[in-house]
Amino acid sequence: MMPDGHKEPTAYKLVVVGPEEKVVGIHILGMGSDEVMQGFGVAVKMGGEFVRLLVRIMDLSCLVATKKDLDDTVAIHPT
Amino acid sequence: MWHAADTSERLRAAADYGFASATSATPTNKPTFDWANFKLKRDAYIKKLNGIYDSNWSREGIEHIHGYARLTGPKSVEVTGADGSKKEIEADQICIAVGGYPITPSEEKIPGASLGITSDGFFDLDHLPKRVAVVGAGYIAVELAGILNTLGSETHLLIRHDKFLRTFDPLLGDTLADWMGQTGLNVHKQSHIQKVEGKSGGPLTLHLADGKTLEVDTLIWAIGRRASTEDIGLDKAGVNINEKGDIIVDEYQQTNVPSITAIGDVQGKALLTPVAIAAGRRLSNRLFGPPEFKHEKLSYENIPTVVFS
Repeated sequence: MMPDGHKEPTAYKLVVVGPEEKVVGIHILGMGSDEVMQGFGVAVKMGGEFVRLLVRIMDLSCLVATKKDLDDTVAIHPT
Repeated sequence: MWHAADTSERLRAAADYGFASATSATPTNKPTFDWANFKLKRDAYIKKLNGIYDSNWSREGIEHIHGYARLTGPKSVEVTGADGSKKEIEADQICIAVGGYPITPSEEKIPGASLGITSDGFFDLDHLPKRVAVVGAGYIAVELAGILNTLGSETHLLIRHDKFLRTFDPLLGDTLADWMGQTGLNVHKQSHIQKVEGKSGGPLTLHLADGKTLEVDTLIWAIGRRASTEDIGLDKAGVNINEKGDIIVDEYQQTNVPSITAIGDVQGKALLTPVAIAAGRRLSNRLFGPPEFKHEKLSYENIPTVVFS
């Protein structure tokens, strides 16, 4: 609906360690990041194992630094 | 303030979604905003919140003494009221939660620096400055510059190096820098103010180290904060501070003096309001709660934080 130049950017990055790619950090930018981060904050606090349950992708155009768990999680998106 | 700016952005997007009355939907075109009226409403709202705290305290039987407090010993405080009257209070437990303040360059270092304001002065502004310079690269600078730019000021963000939000992951600062350029925010890299000329409330001329000048109506320093540990009698009570001026506490918010604890910005760790509230709740549980809370403390690991850019 909006021309590209009007769209606020969205960017997501997961910081993972080890072969199991445990999430130890999450950096996100974009609309709704405050609310998203509150959920992710719980996940990281719990050691990252829980993160896949809380992944919400706000917009299909977002840049995701992927991880298998994140890919395997079905995105929430309005139709 | 951020919600006001966010609303402005939603209004701007409205035209793209077919709302005909919103005609000018470009990132550099801002809907008009009644700052003066908004400020009145915002201040009234904060006053109402203060009143709610006040009535909660009286309901709990907490006496609120208004004045300037100085420690006179490990278990005593002297409070000087606005009328100059002094009152001595003794307590088994004293918690220091005086916070911090925004720093500004000295007049010796940058002549005219005192013509600028800080984040405190930002909240006192009764109108939207036509042209504004925000100095700093931290989250407070980025938030203030973002709000002012979105609400319609010609906004200049002056940073010392090439990037802002340097303590955050580069993804955030880099992505945001690209977008801010599109929104009309002017970021001046490698920028050092040498002198400020003008008069308070009037146009100011900023003289930069590279020889350029910048004319603005308001200058905001957002170059860091310092704990308010000067002149509160810490030496009288024997409370230790570090080289930055922060009170040194252990993981239980305990200072080196057994009867004195410290929470919030004054202890220099994780300077965020919700952190201070969470630490304070756990501290009061530990000190005054039932036995199951006697080891309660706030974990400072992995605290999430958000920049409202």
